Amino acid sequence: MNTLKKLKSIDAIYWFVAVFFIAALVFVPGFANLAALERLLSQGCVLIILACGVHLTVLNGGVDFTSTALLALTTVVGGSIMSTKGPLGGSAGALILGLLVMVLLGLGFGIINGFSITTFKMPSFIVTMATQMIVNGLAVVYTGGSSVTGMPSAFAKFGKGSIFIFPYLLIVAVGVALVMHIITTKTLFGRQLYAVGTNHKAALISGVSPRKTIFKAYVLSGVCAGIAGIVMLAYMQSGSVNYGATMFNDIMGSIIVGGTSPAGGRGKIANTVMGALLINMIDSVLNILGIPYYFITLIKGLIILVAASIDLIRMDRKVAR
Amino acid sequence: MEKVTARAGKTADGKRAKELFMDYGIYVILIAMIVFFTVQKPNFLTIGNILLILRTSSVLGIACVGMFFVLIVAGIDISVSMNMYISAVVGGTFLNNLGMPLPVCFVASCLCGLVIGSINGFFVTKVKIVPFIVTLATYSVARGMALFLTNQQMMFLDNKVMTLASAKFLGISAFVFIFLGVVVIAHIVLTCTQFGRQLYACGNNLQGANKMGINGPRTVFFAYMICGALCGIAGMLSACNLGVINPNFSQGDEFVVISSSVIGGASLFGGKGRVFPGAIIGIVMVQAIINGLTMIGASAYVYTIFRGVIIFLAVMVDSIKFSGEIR
Repeated sequence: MNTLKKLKSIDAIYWFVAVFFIAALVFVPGFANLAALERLLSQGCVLIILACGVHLTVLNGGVDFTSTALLALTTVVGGSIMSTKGPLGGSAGALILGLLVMVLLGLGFGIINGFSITTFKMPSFIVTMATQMIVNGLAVVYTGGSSVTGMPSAFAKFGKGSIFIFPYLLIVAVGVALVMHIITTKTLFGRQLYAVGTNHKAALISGVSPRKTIFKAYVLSGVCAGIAGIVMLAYMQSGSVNYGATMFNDIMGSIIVGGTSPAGGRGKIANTVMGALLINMIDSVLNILGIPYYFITLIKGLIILVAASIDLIRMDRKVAR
Repeated sequence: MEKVTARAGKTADGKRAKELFMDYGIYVILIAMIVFFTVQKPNFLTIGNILLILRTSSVLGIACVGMFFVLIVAGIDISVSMNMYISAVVGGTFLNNLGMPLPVCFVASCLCGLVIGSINGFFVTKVKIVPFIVTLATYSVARGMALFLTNQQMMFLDNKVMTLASAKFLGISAFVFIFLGVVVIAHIVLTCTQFGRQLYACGNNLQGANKMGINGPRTVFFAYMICGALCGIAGMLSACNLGVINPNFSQGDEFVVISSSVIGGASLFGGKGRVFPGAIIGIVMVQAIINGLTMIGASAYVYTIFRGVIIFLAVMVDSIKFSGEIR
């Protein structure tokens, strides 16, 4: 009885991931080998980091579309600084400068988003869509549309290396996820995020500053996008403006499949990470099975709709009780 | 004492200046841009080019009118562009494969848009998911469906569409008259019917409207449905204009539609906006700038940045105006 209750209290997303994983192992040929799993984990890293960042903004009832464009911008700018073909010739200093610039770019656009959302009270999804276009345009203007190559060897080692089957990149992703988990569950800021997302006015009255809280969420989301850019650059060993172009559905999908309410106030980082893994697995299984691109787009859209509906219907039942 | 009144007068002046800027600032910027284009390229302000701008505006203008309905009830529809795509594909299939006459194709694509709009409306009003998530999801579903139907190929339309695309009345393209017709009907619906007033009521205060006895969810549902149907017509019209439906048909147009609606006076916070003349001013201004940028030979990249800046400015002004309002 007790174990049954315990099993029931585990969030649905873990069951989904477990069932889907086992089903994929059994039924999908080519899924069950170490190389494929390692590739799966490396590919998932970028999505996990981005989703963790956007998760914070969704918690307070907003959304951050900019992160996908920031992914592209940081890879091209950081890549061109680090590159052995660049003016700095791929020295160690260039590497550090490149990494720093990538995170700072994320931070900068996070600040712009946070500032316009809190000061002018603009709706977050429109603001971040506008900045997404601006950032994307900047990335294309910066490169002229070509991709950036020639990463230094130290960075290449970081991108390809792994401990057992765990790539370094995964360790970065898990690190980011852990930090975000601690921020949302153990700090005052985390509690305030949930408070603002649940009831903006009540939070204000009880002494929380929604402006500061929301601002910090967007800044953190921007920083996460910068870190995701580093991981993407390390994984692909080249920077391109096309990275992340179709990724926003994946990010939103992982967050919503993880049971986070798109209206804000509810959701766990751990579930979002699981959601990202699930979306990633679905992606690679569909690819292995040779499903055409447009069906994948369609299926991802349906996943978001269904997951959000299930979540809201469940909430309605709870309230009715 | 004098000092105090003087200061009060100053702040009142400041406030008025701010209000004036909020109300007309964006138009001033846009008109300044148009003057800039005219100085740069004298061809910009010729009758031929103006007619071209009007013609290109008319296509997206119809979607813009639909967006007005959704914005008035405080919703948003990101799926407009892909709704246009799939509706155009359905209309095109009727035209090419079934050999139907053009009006039937328009009805078909209108119905297709209506279905997508109803799906949006259903999930927004019955399941109560945040509108932009719903429409983001239908965006990818509609795109997937359209790519599936066309098999990711270009779809060349039958020559019949040329009769509409080249049809002219008083030297002005027939598209413009279709757009004006839609605007007039929408204006009458919004201002002279009970349903129109209910839309504004729901946008201003949904709970209040519900308590007044308005069926709020149904009204919002109809708003999404109308938006979808108009997008269907816009999609087919756009396909007639181009004569071909390629795989990235109307991609990114949702931003043009949203920004021109907001520039035209609709508010993202709902309850505001007049289709006449708002929708016309908004779309013509945005299309004039797009046309001007193309004329002075700005690269496509700059155009993307510029589009982002326009949306940002329009929404910023809208938000500042809204936070000063009392509801």
